[in-house]
Amino acid sequence: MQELVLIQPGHTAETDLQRDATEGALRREFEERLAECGPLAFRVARGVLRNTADAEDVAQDAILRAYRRFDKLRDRARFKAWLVRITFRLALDRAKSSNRRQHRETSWAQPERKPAPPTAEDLAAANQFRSRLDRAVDELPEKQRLVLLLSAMEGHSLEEVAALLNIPIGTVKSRLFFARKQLAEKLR
Amino acid sequence: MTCHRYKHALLQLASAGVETKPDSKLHAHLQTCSSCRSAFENERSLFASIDSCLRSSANSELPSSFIPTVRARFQQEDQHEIQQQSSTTRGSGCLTDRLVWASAFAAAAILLFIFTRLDLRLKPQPTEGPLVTQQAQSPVAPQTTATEPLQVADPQIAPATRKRFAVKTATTLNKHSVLTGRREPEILVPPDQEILLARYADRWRRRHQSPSILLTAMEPTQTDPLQVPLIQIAELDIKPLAPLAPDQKNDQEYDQKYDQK
Repeated sequence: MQELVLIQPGHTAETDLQRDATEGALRREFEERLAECGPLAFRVARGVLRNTADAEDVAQDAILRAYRRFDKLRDRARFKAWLVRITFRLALDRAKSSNRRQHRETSWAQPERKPAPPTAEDLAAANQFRSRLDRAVDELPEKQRLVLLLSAMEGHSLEEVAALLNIPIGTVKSRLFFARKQLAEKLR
Repeated sequence: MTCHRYKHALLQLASAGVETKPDSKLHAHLQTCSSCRSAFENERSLFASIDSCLRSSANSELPSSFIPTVRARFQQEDQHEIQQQSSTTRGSGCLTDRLVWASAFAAAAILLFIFTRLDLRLKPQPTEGPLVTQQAQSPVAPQTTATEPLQVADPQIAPATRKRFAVKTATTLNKHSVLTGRREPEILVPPDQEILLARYADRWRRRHQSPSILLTAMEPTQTDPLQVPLIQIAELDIKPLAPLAPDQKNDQEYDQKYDQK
């Protein structure tokens, strides 16, 4: 009995099979990397957004974006750095848009109200300290902020951060020093 | 004064962490200066608080639903991509069919147009309007032919112009007669208007740079001679002349002598 296969014009069954095999291999490779890099993407997003739900959403978007363009990545060893940059940019965009939305929604309700100056009691409170720290981190330059965030994560030494961002370790140290100095000046 | 010298070193030491030990000069200063020691402790606790807050926010636990959600979105993405590919293929197939049908229809229309034009050209068309040039042929006037049209001696037209006009007109007439098949004279031009018509045709041809439609090919036609009915004359009544008078006789003799001389 003869077996018939429907083939689109301009294609052959062999090329389709090869393409399917290539796509399957890429998918498997990406899933292996996902188990390693998924938590990193989530933590980067969480460090920027400070909200678990938003961070999860942004990290998923970043991973999907990386998945769509994974076959165009020439150096697969740079996947982690690539994903970190995508996640960081997306998280910054989300934070800016949410800040704008929050400002728009609250400005009409409390137009003239300004935050009260901090007192000693407020400073003593941990939540207040954290909120001030968050504001100070938000005001940092993006490069220093990313270095501060990555170096604060467990399991990331300065050498690993330098390798991840493809910058010299001296640059990592200087950025970290100036970032912490600015934070201390604002929290002092 | 000495405290200012150690300020930067103290800041670096505090930001470096607990594990870093100060050098000997700074350590000696901290032992002696209580204000610097308290400032150093405050700085160190501040940096420790910053680090602990950063670590706690940076090392948050990954939700257990994160990886399964990502995998589910992968599958949705794959299905969406497959649907897009199939719709694109279907759309391109429809577009190809439409293009084929449109090109076939256009080719058929062009062929029909060409055949219609050829058919119209091959058929002799009836004359539509007053167009031409052959003068009225009279039995007396010189006849103008298609090969030598309008060669009329006109002192007001330069010989070169007249010659060129004659050649052009002959060529045009030959081509036009082949193409159109018109062979009937359409305007009878009187002989005195012939030169004016020649001038007009020459001017028209220069202006339009195309074969003159005023000049139409015609076979030289011989006009039949005017058929005049025979004159019906009644029977002649011939009578002999009367005898000459003596004076008339003398006159005849005189004439004969004169003729002889």
